[in-house]
Amino acid sequence: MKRGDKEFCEFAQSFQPNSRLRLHNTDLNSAKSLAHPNGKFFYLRNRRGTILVENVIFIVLNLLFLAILLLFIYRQGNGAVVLEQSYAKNIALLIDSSRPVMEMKLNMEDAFNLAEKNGIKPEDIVKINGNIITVKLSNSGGYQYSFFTNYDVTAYPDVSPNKNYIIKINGYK
Amino acid sequence: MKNKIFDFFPKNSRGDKILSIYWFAILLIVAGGIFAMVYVFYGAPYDVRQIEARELTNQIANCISYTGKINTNLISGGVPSLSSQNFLEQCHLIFNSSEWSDEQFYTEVYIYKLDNPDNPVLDIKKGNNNWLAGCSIQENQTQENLPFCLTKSFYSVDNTDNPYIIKILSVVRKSEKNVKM
Repeated sequence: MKRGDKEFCEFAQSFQPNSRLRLHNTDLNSAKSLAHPNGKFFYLRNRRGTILVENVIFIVLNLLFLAILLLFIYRQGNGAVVLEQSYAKNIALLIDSSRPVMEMKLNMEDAFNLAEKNGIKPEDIVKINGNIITVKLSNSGGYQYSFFTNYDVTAYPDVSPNKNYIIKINGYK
Repeated sequence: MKNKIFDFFPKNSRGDKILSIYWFAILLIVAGGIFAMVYVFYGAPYDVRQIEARELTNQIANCISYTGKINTNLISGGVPSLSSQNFLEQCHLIFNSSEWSDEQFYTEVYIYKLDNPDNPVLDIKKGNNNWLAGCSIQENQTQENLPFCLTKSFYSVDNTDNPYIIKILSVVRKSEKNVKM
């Protein structure tokens, strides 16, 4: 068998990805039977289609994987636990740096949206009891943080549709 | 059995299958890495003790000397007052909280005359002094698990225009809520 015939057999085999027909390097006739009279292989066109579909599925799966990762990161960053902590500390620091009779308006759009989704009323988001602030955005207990100034503070949501919270320093205790 | 499985895939596509296993492994490693990074980043609480210590220092400084004159309840006519006993009440500060079993703050105020900077005219120490030991340890390098310490000083005059230098040390612990323990 010539060297060219052997290569031809291998080449024919490579165009039979889904066939159970096994070609041997010496099976020149079988290899030739796969070939079209004009010298082209019957499966050439189908093979191209298979490559395209495989690549598309591969790319789609990769994009899906990437999207799931990004969604996971976004949900972690906007989760109730992170926002509760962030707002509680933010409000505590605002109160600590204020003086009577200040009135502060804090934009809490993210908190309002998340609380609404979790069935928490806007007036229940921020509670100030003594010198402890509690921010609650989910049905869990919420997050507490204390401030060191001995102020009489009240907190209430701004009139709808404004998604702000008003923190009012009424005076010293 | 092994041959049957491999016969199902043509000989030349075995490499693709092996490659896809490696690709799957790479995806798992990348996903695991990102999950770990996100867990470490969002698992650690926001550390606001530095800002809190600065605000405490500012509140104390405003209480001692609001418009550049030392509070007459502390020093009047060059003579220190004894009313520094209720310093926290005068400054409208409260170091106790039901959130913590013990006080999480400590503060020291030293008021020196300019001509005698070694002996303070008045010193005030309030809060939980257990946290003071952490400040000397952190003189060279800050350690997150220990309380945060901040020292500031400024000049002021009393009601008879005697000049003073005032040093304030503020210590904030609250480690459990600001550092991943």
